[in-house]
This record gives sequence, C-alpha cells and structure tokens, in this order.
Amino acid sequence: MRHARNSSRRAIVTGAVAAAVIIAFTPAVSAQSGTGSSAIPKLTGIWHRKGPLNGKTNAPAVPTNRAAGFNQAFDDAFNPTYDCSPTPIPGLINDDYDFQITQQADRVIIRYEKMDVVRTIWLEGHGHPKPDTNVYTNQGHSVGRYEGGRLVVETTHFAFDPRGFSANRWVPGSTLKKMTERYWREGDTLKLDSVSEDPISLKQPYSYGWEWEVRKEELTPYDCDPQDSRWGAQWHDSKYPPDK
Amino acid sequence: MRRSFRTLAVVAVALGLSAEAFAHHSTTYYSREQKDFVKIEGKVVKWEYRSPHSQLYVETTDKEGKAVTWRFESTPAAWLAREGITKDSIKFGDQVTVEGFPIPGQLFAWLGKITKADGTRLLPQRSSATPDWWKP
Repeated sequence: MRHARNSSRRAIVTGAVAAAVIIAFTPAVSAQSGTGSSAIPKLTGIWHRKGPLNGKTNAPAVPTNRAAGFNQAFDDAFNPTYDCSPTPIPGLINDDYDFQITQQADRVIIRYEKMDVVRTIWLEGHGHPKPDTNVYTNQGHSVGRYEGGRLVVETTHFAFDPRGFSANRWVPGSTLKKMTERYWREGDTLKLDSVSEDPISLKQPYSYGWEWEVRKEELTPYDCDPQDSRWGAQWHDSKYPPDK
Repeated sequence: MRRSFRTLAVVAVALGLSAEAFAHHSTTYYSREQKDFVKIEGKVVKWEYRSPHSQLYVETTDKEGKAVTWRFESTPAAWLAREGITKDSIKFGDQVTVEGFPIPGQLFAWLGKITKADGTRLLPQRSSATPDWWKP
C-alpha cells in the first residue's frame, strides 16, 4: 500500500512538474475582457464556487431505463472512487471543489482541487492532432475555441465510467458521451453553462451551470490516499448474496 | 415486463442526479440517530489531515474504564481549510471533547465537532453525515 501511495505521489509530482514546464515555456495568451466574437475572456485565475448559474437550481439528469437499470444493479464496492480514480466531467465540475484556469496561446489548462485532475483544452487552429479513434480516457479529449467572448469546450472520447454524470450516482457515461462547456466572465464572476449528451444513458441533454468567484489562496493538494479511500467500502452491505 | 419498466421509471425519477456537493462516497453507514450520538473526552493520539477524508484519533476510556481509541472521519483537507481548520489546528496530546455519529458497535464515527481545552471550537463543514436534529 505504501508503494501504491508513493507511486501516486510520484505521479502527482511528475504531473505538476510537467504542467509547470508547459506553462513556463508556452507563451501566455493576451487575454482581455470583451464581448466581440473574437474577444478572449480573461478566465485565468483560481476560482471558488458561488452557486448555481443565475441562482437557479440545476435540474437533475434524466436517465434512460437502461441507465436506471444499471444504477439499480451496481454494487457500491465497484465504485472506482474508492481507489482514487478521478471522477469524469461533468461530475468532477459538479462537486464542490475549486480549480485553476491557465490560458495559453494554443491551449487552456484547468487544474482541479478535486483529485488533482489536470485537463488540457486544445484550442482550434493551432494544428493539434485529433484524438486517436480508439482512445478513450477518464476526462476525454477536449477541444476549445473563443466564440462571442466565451470559451467553448467540446469533449468526447470518454472511457466508460459508472460515474458518468455524477460523483456518486451510478448512471454510466458511455463512450458516446459528449459534453459542451461555455465559460465567460461577468465582472469578477466566472460563469459556466454546460450540456452533456449521451444517447445510451440520457433521455435528454443534461444541462447545468455554476458561478465562481476569485479565490486568493492556492489550491489545496488532494494527494488521494488509496488506503484511506477504500476504507469506507467495507461498511457497505453488498446488494448480492455472499459467494460460497 | 410492464411492471419492471414501471419500476425502472420510478428509479429514474428517484435517482435525481442533483448537482449538490458530494461526499467522496456515501456515508450512510454512520448512524444519524440521536440514541447513537457520541460525545467523548480524551487525548489526541493522531491527526491525519488529508484526502479523501481526514481522520482524528482520540484516546479515552470506555464505560468499564478500559483505554480505547476512537477514529473520527471528516471531510477532505481542502474542505477543512475553508473552515479555517489546518494541519496545525490539532496537535498530538491535545485534550479535546469530540462529538460524532458512529457506526453502531464500532469505535468509528463521523466527526461532528471538536472542542479543545481552551474552548476553541473546530466545526468542519456540515455534510450529509450530520443529521438535522444536531445543533452544534
């Protein structure tokens, strides 16, 4: 277990160093506020949640019967979160943790306090390669563009995950899941409007939005402890009879 | 067949994938009933300020006078930091009174509140593991 924990820490340190190198050697974008179609909103900063977008409670996602059946059959011990596996978006964003946005000329990097996740959004028009057809990952492949003073991010190529749309509900995200995020600034507030789609798991597109305010403190490293993480699993009774 | 579809439809509505703050995982194994509530006095023997859950270990004596160590689980370091609770807020040897919500029959509980000997109160962010009847 100590080995696993050390490996995890090494991976985090390596990731942090890699991110620092990328940030140090990539020219910073000349961000500015504006509403024109080509204006680049200033999103760089550390953000702390204020509440749902425009104060409206976010409506729940509506799973298909197939997805609801999966939820019913899913046994809690299978939850990948027990082994520090990061929750994919949109669940990652819905969870109440802060994050840091860094805008570069050809990409946007979002580092989340939750599970130390780092997403790279590849901006269009910079010759970034398309994702390999058969590669599916935890946070998918994100491409972005500035449009109408907003950062628009489209993410596909997600790996199948039982936490497809929420950190602790078992409506799975299929490999057909797609999420579109729109970020913009209104004064000191960062706003997000998003839509998630999945023809296998959702009856209709799942929309939600949040608002965040500037946070002055650095993010707190998550440094997920795998032993502590799985500890809780032992107290949940299985839905199924024990094996003989 | 029709009945099973109806059942699934009910489940689908009940799922209510709400976008509220989540715990790392479900904490339903902690009792929220008033009869199980614990309040102990003791000495801090370990304070693990970490994620996904911080852990406070407090040595005390049980009803028979035997030394026992309670483990109180709490929220991740990032959430505790928002409440001003840091790694240095609690030290080995601190005399504390701790309130919590146990797993019945175990020396494990969800951390409600810590009161230090000097009267300082440490109150982690409320979570789904703390019941509405509890007024800290």
